[in-house]
Amino acid sequence: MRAPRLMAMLRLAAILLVIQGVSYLSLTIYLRSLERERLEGVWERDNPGGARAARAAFVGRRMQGFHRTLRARLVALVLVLPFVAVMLIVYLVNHN
Amino acid sequence: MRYAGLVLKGLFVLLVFLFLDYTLPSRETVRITNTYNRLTDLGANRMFYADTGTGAVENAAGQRDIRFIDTVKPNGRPRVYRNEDTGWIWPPYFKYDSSNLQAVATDLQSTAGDPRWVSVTSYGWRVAWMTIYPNAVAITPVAGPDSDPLNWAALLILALLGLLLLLFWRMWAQFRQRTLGPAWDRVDARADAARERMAERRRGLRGWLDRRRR
Repeated sequence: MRAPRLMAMLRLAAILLVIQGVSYLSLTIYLRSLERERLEGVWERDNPGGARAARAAFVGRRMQGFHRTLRARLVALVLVLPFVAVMLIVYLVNHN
Repeated sequence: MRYAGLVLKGLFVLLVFLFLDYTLPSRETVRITNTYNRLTDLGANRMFYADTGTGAVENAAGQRDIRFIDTVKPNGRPRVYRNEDTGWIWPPYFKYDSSNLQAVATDLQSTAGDPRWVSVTSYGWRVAWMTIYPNAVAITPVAGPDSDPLNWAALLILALLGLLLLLFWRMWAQFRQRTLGPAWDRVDARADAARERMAERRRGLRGWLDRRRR
């Protein structure tokens, strides 16, 4: 199938998807890591000098619902933003 | 040897600056004198022209029909732009309205006696000996040769890049602190324990040798 413009657009979509996937993964890992650190601080404040195992259990329990919070959901924007940016650029460059 | 690291870092910074200078849009107030297209030889400077696959027509001799916009700066020096569609990958301008732009440019051309000044947004370099031209992306009429509209597109992109850099730096710092740090501490502790065992054995051996000597 010889359709150079279509192939080029598909290549762009593929590249954007790869970038989005990597960004989404790294951002969720980063946000979860920040939340863990914050929870550890909270636990240490309430139980100074307590056992590591109890702290780990506390953090693990609290992290269960994290993927349902607003902050975690906002990362989904990363999946949408590149396509929005492309459309914005196309509009500004060609129809302005 | 000390300077090697510094020189490498300097080279890297220079490369990044050159890359940004080429790819980011820039605005220039000029007066359009002529628009035309011309069969142009593309040789080793092919990298500075649009990618094939943008619908550009090339003949068997490797020449491409390219639209040009001749302009003159307020100081009288010439500045020639090309007007090509960009590919869908790089640079990410997604420009496909070159014909429209050429029509607008032709409409805005003027003579020195009756000048009409425009602001041309473009990317790329004009290097005469390499025969490369900046690619005009947009043309807007302006009041006079002194008007200097703000290049908000480049400022916005640079701000976004700065934010991204900040985010990467924070993510790397967090990774170092939470993952690499404890892992290195564990390796360190294991090395300390091994060293302690070696010292114990050496003390034991030397004590046995001393007792034999006495």
